[in-house]
Amino acid sequence: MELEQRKQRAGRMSLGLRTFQKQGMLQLFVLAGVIYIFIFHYIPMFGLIIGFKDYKITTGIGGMFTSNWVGLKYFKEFFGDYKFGELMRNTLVLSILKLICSFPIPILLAIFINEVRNRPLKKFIQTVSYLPYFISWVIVSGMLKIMADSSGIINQAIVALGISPKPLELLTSPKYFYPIAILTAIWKDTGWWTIIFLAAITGIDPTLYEAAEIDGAGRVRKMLDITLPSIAPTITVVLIMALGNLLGGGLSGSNFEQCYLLGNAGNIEVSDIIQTYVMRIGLSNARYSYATAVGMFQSVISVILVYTSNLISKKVSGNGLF
Amino acid sequence: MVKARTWRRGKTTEDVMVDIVIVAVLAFVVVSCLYPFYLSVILSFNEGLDAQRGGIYLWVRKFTLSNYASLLKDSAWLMAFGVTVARTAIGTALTVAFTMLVSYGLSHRELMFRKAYFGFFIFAMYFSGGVIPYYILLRSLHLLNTFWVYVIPGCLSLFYILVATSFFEGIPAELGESAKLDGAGEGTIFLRIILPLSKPLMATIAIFTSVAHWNSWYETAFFTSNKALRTVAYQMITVINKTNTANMGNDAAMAAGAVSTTSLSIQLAAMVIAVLPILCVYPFFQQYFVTGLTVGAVKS
Amino acid sequence: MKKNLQSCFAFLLTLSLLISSMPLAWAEEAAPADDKWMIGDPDNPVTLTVFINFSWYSTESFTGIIPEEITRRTGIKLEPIRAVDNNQLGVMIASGELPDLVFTSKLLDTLSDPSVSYAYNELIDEYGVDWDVDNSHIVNAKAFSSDDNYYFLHSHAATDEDWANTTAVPMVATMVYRHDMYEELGSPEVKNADDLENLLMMVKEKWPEITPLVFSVDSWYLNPLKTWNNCSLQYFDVDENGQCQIVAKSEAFYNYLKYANRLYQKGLIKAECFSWDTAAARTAICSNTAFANIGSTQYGPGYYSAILEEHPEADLREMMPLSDYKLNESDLGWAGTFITKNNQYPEESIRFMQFLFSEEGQKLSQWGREGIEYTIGENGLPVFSEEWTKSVDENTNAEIYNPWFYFGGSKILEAEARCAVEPDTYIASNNAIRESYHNEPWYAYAAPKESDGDYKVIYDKMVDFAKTNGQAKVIVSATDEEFEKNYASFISQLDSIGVDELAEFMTPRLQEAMELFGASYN
Repeated sequence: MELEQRKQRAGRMSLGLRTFQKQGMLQLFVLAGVIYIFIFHYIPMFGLIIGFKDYKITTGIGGMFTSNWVGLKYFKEFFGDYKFGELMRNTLVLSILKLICSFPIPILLAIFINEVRNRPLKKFIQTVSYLPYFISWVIVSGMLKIMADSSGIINQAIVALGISPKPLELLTSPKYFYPIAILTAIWKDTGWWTIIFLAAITGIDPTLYEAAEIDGAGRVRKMLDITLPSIAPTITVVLIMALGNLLGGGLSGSNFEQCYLLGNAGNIEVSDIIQTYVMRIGLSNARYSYATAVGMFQSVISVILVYTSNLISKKVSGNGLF
Repeated sequence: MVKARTWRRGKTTEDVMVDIVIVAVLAFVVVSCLYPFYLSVILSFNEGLDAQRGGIYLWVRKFTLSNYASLLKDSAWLMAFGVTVARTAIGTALTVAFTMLVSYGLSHRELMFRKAYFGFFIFAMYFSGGVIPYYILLRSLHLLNTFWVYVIPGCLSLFYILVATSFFEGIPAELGESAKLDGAGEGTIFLRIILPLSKPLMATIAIFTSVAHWNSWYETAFFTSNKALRTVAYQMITVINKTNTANMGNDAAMAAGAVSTTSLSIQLAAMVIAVLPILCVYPFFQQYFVTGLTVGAVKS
Repeated sequence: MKKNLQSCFAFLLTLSLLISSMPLAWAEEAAPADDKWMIGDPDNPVTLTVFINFSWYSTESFTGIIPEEITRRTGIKLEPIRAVDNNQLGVMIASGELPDLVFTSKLLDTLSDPSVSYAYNELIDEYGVDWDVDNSHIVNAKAFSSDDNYYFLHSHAATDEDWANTTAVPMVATMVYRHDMYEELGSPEVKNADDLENLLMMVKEKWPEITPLVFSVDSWYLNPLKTWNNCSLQYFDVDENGQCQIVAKSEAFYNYLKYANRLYQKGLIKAECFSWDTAAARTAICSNTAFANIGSTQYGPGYYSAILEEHPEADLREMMPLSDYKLNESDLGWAGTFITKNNQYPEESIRFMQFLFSEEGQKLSQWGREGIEYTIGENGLPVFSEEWTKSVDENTNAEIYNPWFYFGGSKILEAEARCAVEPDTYIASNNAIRESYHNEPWYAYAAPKESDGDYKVIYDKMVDFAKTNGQAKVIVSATDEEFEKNYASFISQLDSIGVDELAEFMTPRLQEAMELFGASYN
């Protein structure tokens, strides 16, 4: 009995070994990446322990190991903070709104740009559409402050068009913060992310369109029946990655910059998020233990989001990352 | 001019409707994306103090080159361009090559330990030990204060791996199979068949990586102290910091002279200087996904 | 013969020695009489690396007339690295890769640690440096260390006594207003906060398109409004029994919020200012869209000169203190220079710091060379050379002269340089402000430090909340009912931070600190 089992196991192992050998080259490719990631990502991960320790930077790197264990003290400090509920709410509301509103737009734009047949025009539109990506958030916020000020061009237009009798407090009123954050995020990143979808669209087999044309499909049908399904795997990848970075602000991770630069005492009740708060209360005073604990909390959420969304995606569409 | 090909066979109502929607949307996109950039450029050519008075929307009011002159007389910018170009070129080449290699391996569904590999990569992406242990690691690898600290760490990113893996999965398996029957090894298949098919993918990863390299100042600040290793983005962030009073807090009190009179205009000039070169490179990559070198086309 | 040769040799040797020493003797003669500060060799100076922890700093190179002169007098050269990011210093400390010196206003408590920095007092003793450090300086610096040493000295520190001996004005939050418009309104008398409110109302009625009062949030905020309502500018106060009180919970603070809210409800201030930085508030004045701005005495009329291009009639002045105006600051000084344990030249470094803190060093690093860059005028204030003034106007001062290595800088000299270029219309207000100014350093002295652990965290949260973020919502309440509601929530949030616990912790500390500074609470 036992011998039999052992034989079987040995057989399976040698089969596995043989498969592994057969895949030698491929395994080598992947292992190169694994070793690299191990060195640059896993080795420094020992730093995570300071989230459970009372670490002081003056004790140097050795202090990470010798400092006292404090268990979940810093997690408790964060969860018990007088602002915890507000921070979670703001972070989630901003992230979810941004994901829902901004995610479909680059896909649409890519499809639209693809419909332009004039090549120079197509190139021009695409080049222009990603220009905002290159304007850093500091400058975006600086220009926005000039344009959305009570005497700025936006408020002049609002008054002239009769939308409101007097200028709106666009920059300081809590009710305008989310719309402004979402619109600027869309404006800034849409063109950039169309690059990846356009690349996917160019990969579509043109014979599919020809066949559809023969079947009498119009342009809208072709977009819906051929273009969209063909780029679905890319959409899945990008969506799952965006979900993984949900708390950071989706694909481009702009939550911190936006809240830091566009947030102010007037709108802080909606613009203060986990990252900005940890910056002010933790990192600016070199409280690395606290910052590490909060970072770990966010990492756990990210990994859960990636795995669940991948699972759902596999069940629903059959596409998944892994 | 739009959609010249369909003119010949006549337009349906749907075609016209679609054209109208597309033209309207794209026109809006072009204006809303171009205008702020245009505004940045004209403000950067306007006298700083005058720009602060507001009301400049269409054309320069008080033309000056002094914003640019004050930046470019600093020879550090020139040196920074050299470093940045080298960093971008080498860093991008490394990332693209490494990503292609690893992703090609991972794209085989029958690969042993595939799930484990993915888990390994994903965990690494979302958990980080923070900047202090990372600094120590770079020090023990003797990467600190060298050019290589720009290109070696971070040359493999999970996001590109996932994008590339899903791209490779879309390439028909028969291509590889038939080559194998002809006696080609995995290496040959990868180099001779897969890579030529992956130009749009490589172009995408290259443009993403190169822009990330071009815009990065973090490594310069944290991992180098040699002024000869400074990058354009680093130069830009110092200009922005210098004129950004929001960062000063109570220190502003002591910085009577630091409260410069030209904040936004000089910031914008720095931005234009830093961004223009990489903008000019982009169309070079663009041909791959605008002209469409498709998998299908090669296959047939 | 042998002897002859020997003596001949000796003669030659003496001669050669004499000759070789002659140029030295001449050089010594040619050297300035004030070579008492010579630490190294100006031709082959000792170079110290220094991390400047201010990302906005105007210079990053030790070049220009003043640095060159510093090297000529001391034989020390600096090699500065300017911060780009706030977290850099923390990483440097943790990884042990600090440069020779660190100039910073943050992490003073963290750096005051024997494992990171040399103690000034120990270096002074060890190398027999003849430096009689002012006791108030030592006391202020010791507030940040957990042992009995001091690891830095505050630059830009000044006591009430120092201010009594100058004609310059301390740097405090004040209101700059358009005197020409004020005269157009008939120069109404402004003696208290209500008069001021009426004046702002008159401005609004006469010029509806002009905002009566603007402000910005990055440094001075609404501080003058607090002062006008007899509210302390500190976070703590001590009652007559010696108990620590949280100012944000006090009645005076309520009065200040109420006053600010009244201004808001009447349209005399705009919510928008909560998103402004100093530059935006200046723009409002310069574009003739505001009557008054809360700035500080640091910004003289030159700061607003852009307005003269289109409105040459504009006459900007500092508001005279209200009659019940009492301006209490708590000021220990500004930044410190730490001599790190990585420093190979601790002796040279401590001597260099002594030079920078000396009167000669302070004047050189802040004003330049006497007789060339400046002379002392009749009023005791410096008169700067034409070239210097021109360089300030053209924004090339940092490049040509570079008065930025004021690591031992003096607040008084800084103020005198500023006041020297102000017009006569500022003299009266400057004098009045200086006379009502009173430094109460014990509050900053006693404020929680890193070693106080959780109390420091509560303190940081309170400052973060009470300074701007919590107040704004109360101030921009649309109605009185809403104001009361928002105020109640302001107080309850403060309570949930744990400020009462903090007050209890602070009581003995404040009492001790006051005793140390010779102040009394009853």
